[in-house]
Amino acid sequence: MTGERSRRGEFDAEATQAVPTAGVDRSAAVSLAFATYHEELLSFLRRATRNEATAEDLLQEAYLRLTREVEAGRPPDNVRAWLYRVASNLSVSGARRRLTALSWLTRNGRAEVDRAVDDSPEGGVLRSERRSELLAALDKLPPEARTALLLSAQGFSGLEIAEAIGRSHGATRSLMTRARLAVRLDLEQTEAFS
Amino acid sequence: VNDSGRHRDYLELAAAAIDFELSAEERAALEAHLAGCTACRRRVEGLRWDARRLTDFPVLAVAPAASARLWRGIQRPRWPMPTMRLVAVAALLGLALLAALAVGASLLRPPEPSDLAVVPNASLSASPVASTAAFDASGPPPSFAASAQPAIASPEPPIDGSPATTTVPPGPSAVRPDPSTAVPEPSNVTTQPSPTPAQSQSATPSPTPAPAPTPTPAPKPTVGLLVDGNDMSAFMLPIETGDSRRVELELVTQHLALSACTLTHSVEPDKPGVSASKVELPSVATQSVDLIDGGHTFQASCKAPGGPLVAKIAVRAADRQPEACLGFEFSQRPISVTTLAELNAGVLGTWEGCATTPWTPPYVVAVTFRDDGTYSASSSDVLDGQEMQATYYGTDDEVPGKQYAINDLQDSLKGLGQIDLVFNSGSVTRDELRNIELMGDQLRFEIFHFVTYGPITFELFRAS
Repeated sequence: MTGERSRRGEFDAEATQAVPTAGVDRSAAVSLAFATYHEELLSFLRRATRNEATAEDLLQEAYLRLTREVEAGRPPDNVRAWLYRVASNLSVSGARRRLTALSWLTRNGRAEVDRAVDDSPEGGVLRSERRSELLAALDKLPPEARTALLLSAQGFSGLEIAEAIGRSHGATRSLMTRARLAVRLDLEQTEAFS
Repeated sequence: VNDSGRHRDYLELAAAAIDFELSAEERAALEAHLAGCTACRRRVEGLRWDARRLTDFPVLAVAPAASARLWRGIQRPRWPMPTMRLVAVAALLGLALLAALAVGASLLRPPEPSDLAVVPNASLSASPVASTAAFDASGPPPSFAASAQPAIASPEPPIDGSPATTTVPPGPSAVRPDPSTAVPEPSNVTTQPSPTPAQSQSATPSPTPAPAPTPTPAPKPTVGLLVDGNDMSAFMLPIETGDSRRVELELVTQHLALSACTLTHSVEPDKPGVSASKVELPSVATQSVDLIDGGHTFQASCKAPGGPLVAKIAVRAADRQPEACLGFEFSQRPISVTTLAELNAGVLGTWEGCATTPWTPPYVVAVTFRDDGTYSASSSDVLDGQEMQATYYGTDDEVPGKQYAINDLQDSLKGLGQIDLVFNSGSVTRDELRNIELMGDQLRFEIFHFVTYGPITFELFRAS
């Protein structure tokens, strides 16, 4: 069973922890996964997408997919890695457009979310954080490259990142290499001007 | 910044080395170059410094209200087709209740001011510990409730039945700082040192820094409501039909007197003909409230120095029964037709009664068969907030294409036929009518969807 799940390509075989499949309510497992990871995942998505509403949509979509996996009896071995992978994939794929089309939040709900986000203190953190030169440099990168560097910051290896953003190993390596150099050169220029 | 191609190649190697394993040759070439190139060495240090600073980005705290809203979004499944509705409702029942119990208790308490807390970035090394605890059913969950709570007005409400809600003393797995406790105060962004839970497992015994409390400049009043320890809206409490459910309602304030608040209870009964009501409750910290079958909204409105504060929580006591078919009786009578023509003529008109499916309790339906081969079918019933569709599959709306035909009368005098179910998407399925029994002013028949899904059994009395 464990071997079967590992073959599905989890991020880190050593760091795997399965959602219990028997004896424990599966929805409780999802809710615990939400309690444990939603904050860091949302932080990641905000920085990756640079959009609060998108980040929230993608977070919810990632957890909805987790719910489906768990209910289908296919709980991921490493839930955190699984969530990051799905969230990254959503943020770099065209999933955002499809999500909008589905419009699973009502218009009213959406309006409420937007307002709440604008007023929220974490929105303020993000805004002030944007002023940081490093984040400014990150923001100039294409979404894929930005997501890749943020995944790296979360401790994922290059191979894992390649899988998450759906690119080949070689393409991911050159994408990230260029991104890191671009950020460095950008910062050096900023430093030179200040 | 002018990089010759050659230098650039080595910088790329150095950048790649951050995330990828270099080959032995690549590594050797890079080291050889860096040994003799100060400019590149400095830049490579910069690359590594950037990577490290990226990992230092804090986890942005999510306001409890935002967490609750996001969680509700996850609990609210999208139904692709009307046919999925009841499945989804069932799923929601399970999810909403248990998940709300688990998360509501741990994640969203205490009702914190929606202020910033910046908690250390969870590094990958920390995650196995967190996930071990999170999914180890036998051990204590690493829920945020496991951390010490700041002083709040309410005692820790016990929640029974869910292992996820067990409040435990912080163990090694609870080292992960709690955003709700790490920074007790608003308008302060505090970045804390990164305690890694993995340290408790590693051989190097480095002390775990405790979250440093920030001084309190100006307390900010807050108000929150909890039902049986949950501050999650939209969760369902199962009840028996005709019964009610007693819950503990808690009004929790911080830096605010309870008497500054008015507390109301609005009820939308899940019973036809019973109108909604709204009563005022005493603004006390804890009280018992009986919830009848239906939707319940509690709202606390408080006068506070900075402006009015409102807290709201909505729950549903659900007996999973549409009420209108309670006590519905339908007794079999002798079939009153002997020919197909008699049956076809006999079913024309409007019929009312109840429909039963393998997946739902009985619900009220009205069906009209017309001599041009069209039909209408609708249900006015609501199952715990979800409108029922008369034919279970398809729509109740008056849309073109709703046709039926009875084309055989068996020796048993029961008719056979077909019925087109129309979906809001515009698609139509031609499904079976079976066991059509006309018994004077009574009509009974079954619909099978895609031959196998059924029976959806209609037991009807003639209305006109």
